[in-house]
Amino acid sequence: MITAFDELQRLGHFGPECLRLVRGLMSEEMRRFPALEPAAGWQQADVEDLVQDFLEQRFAALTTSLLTTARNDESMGRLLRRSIRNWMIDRARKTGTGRVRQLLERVLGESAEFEQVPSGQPGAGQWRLAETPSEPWSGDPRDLIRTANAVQDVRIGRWSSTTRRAPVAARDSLIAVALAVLSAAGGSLEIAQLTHVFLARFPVALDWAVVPLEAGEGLLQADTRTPEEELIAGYDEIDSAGGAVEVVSMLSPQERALVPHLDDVAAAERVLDCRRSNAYQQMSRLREKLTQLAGTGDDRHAVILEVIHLCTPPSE
Amino acid sequence: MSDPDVPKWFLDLAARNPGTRSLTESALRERFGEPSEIELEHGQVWRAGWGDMAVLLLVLELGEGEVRASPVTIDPPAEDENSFVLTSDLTAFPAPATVWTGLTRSVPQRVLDIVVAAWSMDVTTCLMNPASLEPGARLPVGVRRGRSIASDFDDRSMIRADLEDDVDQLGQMPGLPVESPVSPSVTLAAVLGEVDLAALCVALDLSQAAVMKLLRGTTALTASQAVVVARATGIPEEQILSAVRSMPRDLVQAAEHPRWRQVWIARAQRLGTDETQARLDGCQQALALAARQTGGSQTDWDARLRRALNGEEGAPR
Repeated sequence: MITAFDELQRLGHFGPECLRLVRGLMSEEMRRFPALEPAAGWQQADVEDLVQDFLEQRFAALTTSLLTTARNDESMGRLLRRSIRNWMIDRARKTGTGRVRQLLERVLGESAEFEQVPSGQPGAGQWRLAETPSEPWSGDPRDLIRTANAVQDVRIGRWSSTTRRAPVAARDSLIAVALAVLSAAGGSLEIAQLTHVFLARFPVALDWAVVPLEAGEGLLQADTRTPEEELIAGYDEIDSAGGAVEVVSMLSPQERALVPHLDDVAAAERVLDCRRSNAYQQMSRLREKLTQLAGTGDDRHAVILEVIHLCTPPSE
Repeated sequence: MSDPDVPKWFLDLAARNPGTRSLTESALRERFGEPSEIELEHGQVWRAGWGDMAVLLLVLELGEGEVRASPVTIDPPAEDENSFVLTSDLTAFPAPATVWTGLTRSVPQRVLDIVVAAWSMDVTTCLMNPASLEPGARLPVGVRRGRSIASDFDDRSMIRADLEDDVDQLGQMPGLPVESPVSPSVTLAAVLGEVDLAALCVALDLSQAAVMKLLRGTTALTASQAVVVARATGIPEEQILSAVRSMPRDLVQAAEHPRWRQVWIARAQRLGTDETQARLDGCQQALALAARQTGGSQTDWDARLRRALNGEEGAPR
């Protein structure tokens, strides 16, 4: 029987064996992204849809990469898995961006401090501070990001385990940041511009790895909710800020195991079963994640210390 | 492709993307010549790898037994502030490629597999010393600086970390032991001193003549034989291996040139061993051949390897 690597080298493009390999790897990798999982759970048709979308988007670059780089079936599988995983992360981040945008629109719409520019005025449909006539803003987004970063006492919303998605700031913090950003802009902003600033301020909101991988059947069932339940779950996410226990609940098992070793790359390599640069990257990411999840309140250091304490096994 | 398991959309997709046939190994051999005939040059893009790890490398400089090279990726799409992105008309690939000049490393020539492209001097020169380029300096048409990675949560930071690990690991792939002026290679007989020849024959399950060849160094001592000898004599395995297996530097350099890579891979597959052992055995054959010859001129190790391995699959002629 011909292998996928031999087939690729013989045809110069993907054939049935390569397609089988993509299907197999996709059905493994998609289970690592429960945030993308349909309410009814993964079906065979979903694998087909994902494979088709993936190949439609990546076919030429992927084929070129595998033809030039893979040296045998093992290396081809490794390269292909890396490509699929990256594509799934990209997909999860796009879903997360849409969710942050919806959340912002909802919070801005419900708060008396903000309003949309009425039709017929410059920047119609954009957001501005209530009762402030203003022109559409057209400055450097980095200035707004700096303003957003300077807002004190920001707290991250409580994580809703049923949505299994990364948290954003709590409602009062979202409002405080939006007030600061729109004041600094001195004009109205597109929701896309605001979303961009918020994602730069709260990059953890797009953290695909925030989802505990042990999320099992119980959680899958919990996700089959009515539209009303969806709405309530969405409010839960931003209506209360979390403490150390909440922060720990937002970490994957692997991240919890890594927390006690954030200064020890050799230990991190063992815990993560990876090599040095990868371990450094994951340590840096987790440090940043803990910093963000702990918020910028006066108790942030205490929260982080408590998280470390909670994640450290009693014997250490 | 009449497989009922293959959907129509896939057939249509493959038909719309026919432009990669020129990148198969057979097409690359036609374009650049057999690996055994290849001369290393900067500007070449090589497939490099070991085991299940594979990376594309742009050769920037040649050194003794090594090259200074930057990794190149085509998929997944990724870049950072220290990288350069090249359009497809510069790369001979049907998709843009990222050259990660921030991950430039020296890697041993023994990890290079096959040439997949040769880029223009203009492009290569620009990528050889990116630090000398002013931030606003004009780049060759089709080359742009990579965009920075804004956050550790950006998946491109993980792609970069994986790539860095791969390139670093390539730099550590096992090479042949090189003899030095302070520790020249010696025969197994010299390492063992007085030896119970009969006991050694039994332990190794070899005839006396075969064991004598091992002792004199005219037959290669394998790693598994070294383990047996260590057990039989009580001399540490590392001491035996380091003493009898180190090779002249010039021989090691010749054997680790990529023109010999396919020979070692084919030999390892045929004999069910690993590439390092296959290379070691081949070198010891060449060394044994040299030991039987006289003459004071400098040894042409490439020629010795060709003679010792004459007729082997992929061997240079």
